[in-house]
Amino acid sequence: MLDILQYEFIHNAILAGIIVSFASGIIGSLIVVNRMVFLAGGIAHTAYGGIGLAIYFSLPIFLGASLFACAAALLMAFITLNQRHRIDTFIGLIWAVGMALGIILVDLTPGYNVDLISYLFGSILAVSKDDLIYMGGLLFVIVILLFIWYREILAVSYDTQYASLRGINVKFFYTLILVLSSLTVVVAIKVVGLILVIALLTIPIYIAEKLSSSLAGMMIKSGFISSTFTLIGLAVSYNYDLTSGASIIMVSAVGFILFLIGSKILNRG
Amino acid sequence: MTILNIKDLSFSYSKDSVLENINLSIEDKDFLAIIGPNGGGKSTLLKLILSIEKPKSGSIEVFGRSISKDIKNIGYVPQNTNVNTDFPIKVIDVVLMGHTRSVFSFGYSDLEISCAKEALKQVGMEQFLDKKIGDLSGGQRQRVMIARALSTHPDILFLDEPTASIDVDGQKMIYDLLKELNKSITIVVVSHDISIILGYANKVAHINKNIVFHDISQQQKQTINKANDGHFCEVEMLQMLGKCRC
Repeated sequence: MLDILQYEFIHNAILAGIIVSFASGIIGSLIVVNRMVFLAGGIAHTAYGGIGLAIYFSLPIFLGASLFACAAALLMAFITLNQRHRIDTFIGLIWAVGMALGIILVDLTPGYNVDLISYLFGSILAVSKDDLIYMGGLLFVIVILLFIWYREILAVSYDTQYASLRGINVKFFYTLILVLSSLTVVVAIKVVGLILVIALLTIPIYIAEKLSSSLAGMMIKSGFISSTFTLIGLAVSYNYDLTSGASIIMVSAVGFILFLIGSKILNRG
Repeated sequence: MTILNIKDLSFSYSKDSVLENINLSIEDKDFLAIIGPNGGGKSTLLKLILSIEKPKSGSIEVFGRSISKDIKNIGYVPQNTNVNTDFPIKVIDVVLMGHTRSVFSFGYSDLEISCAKEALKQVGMEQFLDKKIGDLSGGQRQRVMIARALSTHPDILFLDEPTASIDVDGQKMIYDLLKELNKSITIVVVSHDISIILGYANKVAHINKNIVFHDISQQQKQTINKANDGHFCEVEMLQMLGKCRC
């Protein structure tokens, strides 16, 4: 099995898996503690509109999808901050429309026949050097922003109203979290695909939350747990010739169930 | 010294007015209880004072200045401290949120940490500072929230239903703590728990769109205490306060 390590695409896949695991571990923690999982799901699916747009205008996929997902995140931030009623309905609407737009744009692209499945379920084995640079750059930006604004982000996430009373610009940080989520979702699509992105943003996070007593600790632990699941999933996918994204999620699900059983037994004993 | 002065305040969310012609003034080291029925506007009044909502007409002055977002000398303990208990955060980090930084710095300064520890000591929770907030009882968590409000050394402390979801022993502990704090700062409590709060407050404002204000610091309080055989229902209470509508 070790002989697979000589291939460059395997190196890229492993690196991408680790980078995306840490990005999604950090951002997933913010999404979970801010109860934005449904919002993140909406953004993930809306991002397909950006993929369609990028294919139609022959732009780089990451660029098209990132810009489109950012726009969707800003729109969702605007709606959730200003519209108190039926927010979930609006998210559902943006979710479906983004996806439909992507599919129609792909239909309209002449001679196009790239496989939709690779965006739905990820294509970690097809990660290029450029993709890696983009992913690494994003993780770097996320870490820097957290270093600068950890206190404010923590305050807004824990108690929004109190943070606003203390003069913190809640709307800015809420929007920032959503925009960073949208960018992370786009790179996670490359690894596990947009259907499964939510699992990557929730399963390792749930386990890490139970094991942590600080938000920063939760983020780091999520990154390690997610990396473990991703690398095991990758190995399973290679050995049994299975779809990589789905394998990663199944490994995560097994890990999740083992964690639940383990913590039940420990609590009883 | 007048700490809080509200003049002809009116407010409405949409067409129907929530508060009409509220006039209220409290002095240094008062203990004001704001009572009234659900939907009567108690919490809205608090939101207006804290400038979460803007008044439609009238004025609110705190320490002789009209209110703004810069409210360092105001402490606030929100309602529902039992939400978000899964959040991975330690007691000390919750208290540290009371501070916001004016200049950029990494982490928390020594001064901020010592203020937070001091505040935890004041509420008797210093031994819990490394505990996860979710592992505390409702009453303990409420005391941590009070510590968070105290960490910036406020001159006035607002509490919104501080004992709503706490058992009887915990409630008494909270009110005894507030009584102790009242020796040095002004306290305003929004509560429907009138039977308990009357033992501690020296002023009562009954809010139901309009305000009925009672100064019960002297003789009136004795009458109430005499009649109070441990329990007081809101109807009895309102009947009694109604009699002396001064």
